[in-house]
Amino acid sequence: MQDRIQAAVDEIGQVLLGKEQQVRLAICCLLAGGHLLIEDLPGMGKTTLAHALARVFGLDFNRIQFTSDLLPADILGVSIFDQANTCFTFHAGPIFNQLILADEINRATPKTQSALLEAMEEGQVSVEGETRPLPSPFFVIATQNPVSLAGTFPLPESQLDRFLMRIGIGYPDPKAERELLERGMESDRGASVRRSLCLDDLIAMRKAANAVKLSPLLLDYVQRLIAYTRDNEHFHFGLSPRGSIAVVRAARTWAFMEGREHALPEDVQAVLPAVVEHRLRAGSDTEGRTGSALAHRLLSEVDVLQ
Amino acid sequence: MTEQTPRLTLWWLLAAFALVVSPHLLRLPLGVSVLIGACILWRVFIFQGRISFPGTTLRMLIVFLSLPLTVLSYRGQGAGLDAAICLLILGTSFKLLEMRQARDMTIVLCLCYVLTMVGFIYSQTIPAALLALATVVVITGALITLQRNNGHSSLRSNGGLALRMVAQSIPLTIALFVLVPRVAPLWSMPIPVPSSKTGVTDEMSPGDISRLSRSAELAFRVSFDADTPSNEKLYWRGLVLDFFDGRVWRRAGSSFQSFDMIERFRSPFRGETLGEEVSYDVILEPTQQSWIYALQLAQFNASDIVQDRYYTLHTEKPVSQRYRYQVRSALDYHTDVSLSGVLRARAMQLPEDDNNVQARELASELRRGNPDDRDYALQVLRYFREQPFYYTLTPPPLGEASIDDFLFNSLQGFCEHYAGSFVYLMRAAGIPARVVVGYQGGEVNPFEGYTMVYQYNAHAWAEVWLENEGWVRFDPTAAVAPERISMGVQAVLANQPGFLEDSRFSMMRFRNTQWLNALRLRLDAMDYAWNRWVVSYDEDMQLDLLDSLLGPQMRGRLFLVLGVVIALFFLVAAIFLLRRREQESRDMATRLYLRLAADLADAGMKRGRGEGPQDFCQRLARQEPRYASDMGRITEIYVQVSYGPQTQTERHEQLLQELQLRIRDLRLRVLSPLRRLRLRMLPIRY
Repeated sequence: MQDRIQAAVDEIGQVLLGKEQQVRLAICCLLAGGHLLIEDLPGMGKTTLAHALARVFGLDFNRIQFTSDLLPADILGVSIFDQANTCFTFHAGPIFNQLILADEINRATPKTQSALLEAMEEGQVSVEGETRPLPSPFFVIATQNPVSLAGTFPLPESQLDRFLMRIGIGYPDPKAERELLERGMESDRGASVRRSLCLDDLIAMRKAANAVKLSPLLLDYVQRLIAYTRDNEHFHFGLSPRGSIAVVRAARTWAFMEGREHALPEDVQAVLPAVVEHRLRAGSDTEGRTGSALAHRLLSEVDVLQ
Repeated sequence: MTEQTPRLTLWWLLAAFALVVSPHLLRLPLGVSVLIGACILWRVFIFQGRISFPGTTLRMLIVFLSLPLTVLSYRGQGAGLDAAICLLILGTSFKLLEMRQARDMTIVLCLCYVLTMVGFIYSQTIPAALLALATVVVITGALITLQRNNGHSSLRSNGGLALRMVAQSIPLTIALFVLVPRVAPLWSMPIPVPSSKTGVTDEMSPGDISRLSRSAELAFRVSFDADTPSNEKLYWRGLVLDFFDGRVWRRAGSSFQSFDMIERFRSPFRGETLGEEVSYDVILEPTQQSWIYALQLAQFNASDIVQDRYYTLHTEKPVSQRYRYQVRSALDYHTDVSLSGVLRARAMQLPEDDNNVQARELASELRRGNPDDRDYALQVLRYFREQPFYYTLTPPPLGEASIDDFLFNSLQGFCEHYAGSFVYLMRAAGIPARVVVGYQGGEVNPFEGYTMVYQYNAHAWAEVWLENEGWVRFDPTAAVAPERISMGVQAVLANQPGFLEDSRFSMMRFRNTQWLNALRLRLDAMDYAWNRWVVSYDEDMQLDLLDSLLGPQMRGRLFLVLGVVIALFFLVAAIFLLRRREQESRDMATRLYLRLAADLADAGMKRGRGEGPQDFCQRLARQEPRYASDMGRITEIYVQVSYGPQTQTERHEQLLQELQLRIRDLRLRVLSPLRRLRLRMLPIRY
């Protein structure tokens, strides 16, 4: 199974050059059944990554471009009076898909954002007093621009918490950049990505990842990490239990992707920045910016063995 | 973790220690006792801040000096138990001087519990048990203060809780004492042997028995199954002395009278019982001798007792602790109706250089008128009765020809004089006779109905062999002082100087004060019950008791239930320990790994705090390729053991062993030469 994951990673790597770590994290997030937030500057390949992920898993896919005038009904769907049958029929919105790409989510108003976020947490939506289940699996890959940019509504902590991981992409290294330049601009790079995993694979992999063993020593380490965020003055607030569960879930999946039947501290460390960065805020940070510095402090200050 | 020693606990602990040591102090060598006292004082001074804790050098010095001190003090005393106990006590008192943490106090207190039990090796009396109980309360109190916060510091609350806890544990203790199957110990402990032997000895010279009458110590206690026979029938037979050298009576062929020899050359029982038997139960105080006392003619069912040809009972080992045995005796009997040649020759023996001329003349004169042996013996008794013999504890010393001197000169003597000269007169007339030593009479305790026999009951009498009757007992003392036999020795001798001289403060001296005498008898009855039901409670008694309580079928069931309960207890304990062990083995792997990491850090290869084992291994491999393969394997095993599936399998153990050895090897390569040497000296755990 690890071979197939590697194949998927390679497949995406063809369109997103030199970003294997980010790709693996993204896949790990989806395998762990969590929603993914990709945050970076415009033009870094966020949408490309999201697109490629959707294609590689072969999921029903829809893209919602978030703008400041987007309304909840535009996402969820509306009931329209059918004159032929003289009744209201529900016209499902774009959210009724297995994978949603919520592009530039922080450009929408909070009202629209929460419509999406309810769906993310509950796996169902309530439209006009009626609860409708969403397809399974249901993934949201959201992209956003750094909050400092103009024309954005930053997501509150409670909503950030619902994303299992937040990853950045970063500038490509010179070698990848050169290749990118040589290749030239293609109209739809995402279209060249071939599907290499199916739904059954996804379910089997999730099962295998859940079977990964966590030794007491490892859990001790995770607890030390969490206790550190709660006790240390550099942290404005500590990790929530949902956050600690997320760390363990991601570490398990990571260990599975590495081909191990038990999780190591290195697995925890590999996923930790992506899982906790958006959930933490520095003690002196009043603007609500979350820092990767905090995650790195965690990694370097907390003893792996004690 | 490293709590300071709580102040309050210190006082409790010192009190407990003083109580524990107190019964040992007089027994221990003086130097050791002084050292113990010094340790306690030193600890008090440390507490007051006057002196500091002793340094390492001084502590080493004390420990190394205490060993030769102990060895020298106990030089030449075969059994090592005394010396070992001495060392244990010394070690505990030294521990006082390095007691810095609460943990040390716990250790000392646990040692105090052990020492309390050790005390029972030396004394199992009621006062010793009461002292031990008090000690346990104080030790428990000390433990309580150690565990409690300073909030409860009153003596009353701590002491009260300790008392309550000990009181609550007593029913369980009793239940365990009564019910837990008694298993014979796997090894026998060398019991310390006091050097002085007490009671009747295997020699009798004039003055020996009268010396015993100065002592009011208990010799043994007897309880008869039926009525107690009258006083003049209670001749507690000890040894037969049949060799006379002109002054001292001894045992002939005493080297053949050990347990083994008697066992090996067991002769057929030559006695014949007539009439009724009496059964009784004796608890003998320690005598350090290997013979025990019984009424003639004794029979028994014990495998650790043998009877020699003189009908004396012997034990396998000297009686060094209270010894309990059961005997049946026929008060009417015939023994040795046909006398063997050896015994006859021994019973006729007279000293070779005999100079008791007058006594021989007296014998032949009396013999002329009494050709019959019995008539002759009675004639001699009559002689004793009619001549002005005086029964006294303080006879004048006798000259060279002791029999002549006594019979015709001093005419004053104690039972050994009468018995010795009587037997001499028999033998001089050609009649087989011998001296028997033992105890006569006894005092019945009115509260419990058993008979107490004291050292002053020691007595000597004679046995004469008569045709068709065998050995017949004659007591010449009875002829001289009949009330000695009928009323008991204390009635006769109470006013004589010298009687109970060695027991000046014995309550026996106040026997005429009514309430004191009652108190004495009460105390003795308590002590007797204690010995009978507690100290000598053994397997047989346990079975009897359970049978009488529950019946034999229930007994089996009880043991079954008990066995199941105990087995369950151990099972639960085993599971608990195994689970802990799993945890520990994981912890141990981490401990080993961290130690290695510390050594690597000293050698300039520091593991970052947040660096996982695999990352560290990879970095190390780049930084120091020479350790790459070793570290690679160590990391592999460590990761497997610590983070892998937790199974308590053999494979797991193997991995742990390999990890330990590999880490040791790598540490040896990494360490500086000096620390390498230190590591080499440490044992490998597996």
